[in-house]
Amino acid sequence: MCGIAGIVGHNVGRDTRERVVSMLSELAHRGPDDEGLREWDGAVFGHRRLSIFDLSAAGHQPMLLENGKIGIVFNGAIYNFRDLRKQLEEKGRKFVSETDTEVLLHGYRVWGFDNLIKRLDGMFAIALWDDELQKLFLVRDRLGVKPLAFAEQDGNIGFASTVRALKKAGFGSGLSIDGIAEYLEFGFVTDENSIYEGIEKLRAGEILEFHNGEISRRLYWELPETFDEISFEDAVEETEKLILNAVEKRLFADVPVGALLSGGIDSSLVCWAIAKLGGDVSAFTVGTPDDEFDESNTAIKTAKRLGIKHRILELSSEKPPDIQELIKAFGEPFACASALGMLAISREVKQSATVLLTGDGGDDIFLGYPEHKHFLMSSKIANSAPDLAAGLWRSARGLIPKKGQLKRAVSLLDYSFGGIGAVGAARDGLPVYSENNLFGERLREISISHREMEWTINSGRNLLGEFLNYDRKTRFTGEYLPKVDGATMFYALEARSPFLDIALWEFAAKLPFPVRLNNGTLKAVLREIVRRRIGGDLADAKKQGFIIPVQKWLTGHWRKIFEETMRDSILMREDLIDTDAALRLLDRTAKSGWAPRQLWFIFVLESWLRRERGLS
Amino acid sequence: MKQKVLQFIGSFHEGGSERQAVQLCSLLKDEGSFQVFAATLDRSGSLLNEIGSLKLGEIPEYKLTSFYGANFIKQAKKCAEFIRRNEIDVVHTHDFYTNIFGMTAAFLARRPARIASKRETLSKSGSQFFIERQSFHLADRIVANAGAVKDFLTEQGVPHAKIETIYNGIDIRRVAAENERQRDRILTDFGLPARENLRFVTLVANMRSEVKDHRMFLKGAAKISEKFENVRFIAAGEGELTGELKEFSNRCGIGDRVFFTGRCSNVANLLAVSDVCVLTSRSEGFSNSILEYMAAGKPVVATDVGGANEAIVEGETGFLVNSEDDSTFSKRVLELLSDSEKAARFGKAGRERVERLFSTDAQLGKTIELYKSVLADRSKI
Repeated sequence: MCGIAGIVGHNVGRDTRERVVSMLSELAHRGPDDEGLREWDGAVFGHRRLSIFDLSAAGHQPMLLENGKIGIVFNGAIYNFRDLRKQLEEKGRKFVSETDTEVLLHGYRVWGFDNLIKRLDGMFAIALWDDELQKLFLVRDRLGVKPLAFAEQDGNIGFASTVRALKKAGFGSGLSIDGIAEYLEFGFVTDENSIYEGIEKLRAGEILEFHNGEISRRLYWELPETFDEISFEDAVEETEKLILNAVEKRLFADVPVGALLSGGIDSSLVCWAIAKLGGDVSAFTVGTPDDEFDESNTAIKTAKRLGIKHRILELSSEKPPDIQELIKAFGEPFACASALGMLAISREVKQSATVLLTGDGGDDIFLGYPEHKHFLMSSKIANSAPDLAAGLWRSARGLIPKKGQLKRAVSLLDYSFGGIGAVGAARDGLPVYSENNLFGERLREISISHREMEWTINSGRNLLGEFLNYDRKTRFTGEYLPKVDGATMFYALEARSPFLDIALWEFAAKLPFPVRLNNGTLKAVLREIVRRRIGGDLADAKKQGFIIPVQKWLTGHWRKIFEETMRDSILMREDLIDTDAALRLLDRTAKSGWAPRQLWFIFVLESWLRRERGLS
Repeated sequence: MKQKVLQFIGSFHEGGSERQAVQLCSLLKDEGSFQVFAATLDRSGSLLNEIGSLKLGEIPEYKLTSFYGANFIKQAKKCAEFIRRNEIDVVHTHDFYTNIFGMTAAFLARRPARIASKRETLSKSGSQFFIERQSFHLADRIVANAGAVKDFLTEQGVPHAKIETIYNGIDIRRVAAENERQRDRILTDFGLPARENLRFVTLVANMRSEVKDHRMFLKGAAKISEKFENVRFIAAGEGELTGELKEFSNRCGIGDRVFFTGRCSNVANLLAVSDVCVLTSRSEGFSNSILEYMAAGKPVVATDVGGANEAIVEGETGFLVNSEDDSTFSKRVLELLSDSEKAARFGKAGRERVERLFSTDAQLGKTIELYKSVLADRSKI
């Protein structure tokens, strides 16, 4: 786990080293243990290290091979590096460290870049410079757990773990209107955009090659899209094996390992697997004693049943955290409220562990969100309706009042007959800004592709499949994964989720939806394992999760600072947001004690921009 | 009674010098003016069968460990004894090691005329060149297999008059392909993909010597692959660099496009299915591979080293590029891959040129002339 940065190209000059150093200073929190820099004629690589495997100086990066002709910087963890090392040793390669990084270098030397990457099991963002071939390779892991941004400029390419670091080194230009629009819609910027013009992100499962000033990009992996024929029983058995395997791989480290234990299914399963494997790991639970959704008691019970070491970290849901922590931790504006919770957890856990096992990813592939059930139902309706029904529905839907149960029914039929286009349009988001006149001059005409996807019944017929694909490219890689990476790395903590294991994902992706939602139960496969291995009460529990009430705090604790910030705002000066309208909206909604989340998005964006510009 | 010539051959492993020496034995035997003997420093290798079939009698082997020990003197005396016993009139050596050993032994035997050979323009290390120079002092004449080699020797201080240029001769029959209609079968035999629209770029070079610069070939291949989808690359030759080069082709991202065929027992068939033939050496004397490519009617792209520019006519039978310049190399190969009419024209012109200038008849004639002239000079003394 680390921060990586570098600049490559024909115009690498005297100031390049300083630019890379400035990126490294921006990434210092990701790797507090060591800093390294290496220069070639056409490339400069930099690295901030968080030592996990082989804590000695042998793990220093940039790591080199063949008298420096090949160099690498790497952020992440390769879980199968020992197997790969054995294969490489059989081919005569000699190793000087116990790190996964060195395996990458030798693996490249023997197999070439693409064939190396296809062999890797893990989470990674890698930059490799082949001085002999004058080629730069950049790559991100299959699911996009580890971040990597890049930018072209005057024949050079720059790369870094965060967009912010690249900007600090002078890459990119002004704010991207597309990036801002996407942020205001979602509260985060997806991998398709960035907050700055001219800075891009590598996509999950993508390789970028830079040679002679030209970039080529290719995907090396895609999630399977066909289903296996398998019974629920077999799915449960195989999943259990895969979870155990995924957890076992993630317990290897030369530093203390902890695990997160909420009261939910996924983290409980991770802790069960740790206990079964005999792992020497402490489990941590975030307790919010003054919150009705506090999960501490369930977690205590689970930990007792499993017989694992357990600690409760108490957070107050009444006392708002420091928003500056959120602003500093994320390289782009990021308004996911639960990131505040993740930051608090990371701060606490870091005191006793450097690696943290989490339960992230289980909901996304084993279908744990309520909309998964709704979309499956919509697709059933679409499959039983003729094509003609879509047109009829579009003419009729305007006549139906959208209130109460009827509103739900309208949405369901919209999804059936409009598919993913209807899902994209159904979100609150940009229309809320328009309706409340929140947009400044530059944003009044904006549109985003997410709201302009075509409505078709064909899409409705495979709605759950299409949604999962879409969601993976938006919320999953834009919000869920960055939330964990940004928050944990801010405190130099390496998060590892067994539910992001690639073998488990590929297996789960091939499970038919009715198996994953067996008997209409969300995450049915995982629940069944919990029922058998931990207990029926936990298996039947509803999804909870603590809520960070940022919208409430905006009307209370944060109201004054929000108002002060908005009165002299960058967003206003740059004609992006009419902050007077934002203040009026807060006034109107404050009495209810709950501000619209769009105001929270604006608040985070303004605060983020102030920090970027060196303002308090 | 026929005069006797001893051909001193380093080993019988497949290589340019060895093949030319064995071919010369065969040509001289068939021509009949001289009785041919052969000796070697290492009696092993795939060409042993070929020379065995010539029935030249015993082929003595003189194993060396170094040039400086007692064993060298012992072996040289043994060889001198063989030369005297068989009343050899001419000793002809063919490479660095046989030059040194053969010239010494022939000097010790007193009797025969001594002809050394130089086949490359590569500067050896200081001590090696010094010792080879001593062998050239002992030689009556030195055969250079290209004008470039002659120039090189002259620059190094070898008397101009002692050097005779005799080009390698190419046996056109050796590169006469089987029926082209059997392309698929040939490809399958070599383990190559037999898709109809695939084009092949071929390098025939041993995988022992870094001087062949296989890496330039592979780097160029990577660049060609970026622009030309239906191309595959053949690297034919054996040697200890093969594993490393396979890895390097992976590193270049073309591991699945390069086929390492190992030693090629049927060069004719391999060339027949090739579209462009290449050589990327950093140094050469006069390359057999280039002559074979041309004799097979293939366009050639080669580095401008040694006698390459004496064989290839730039823009007529092929292209010359600077050594280590894989960018120009790839552009030239692409030019031929994408213009099959030009490729065919170059190939035809190359074959005609080989028949005209680099035939085995020419090589044999000049060699016999040299032997006779040296023997005549000796008899005057």
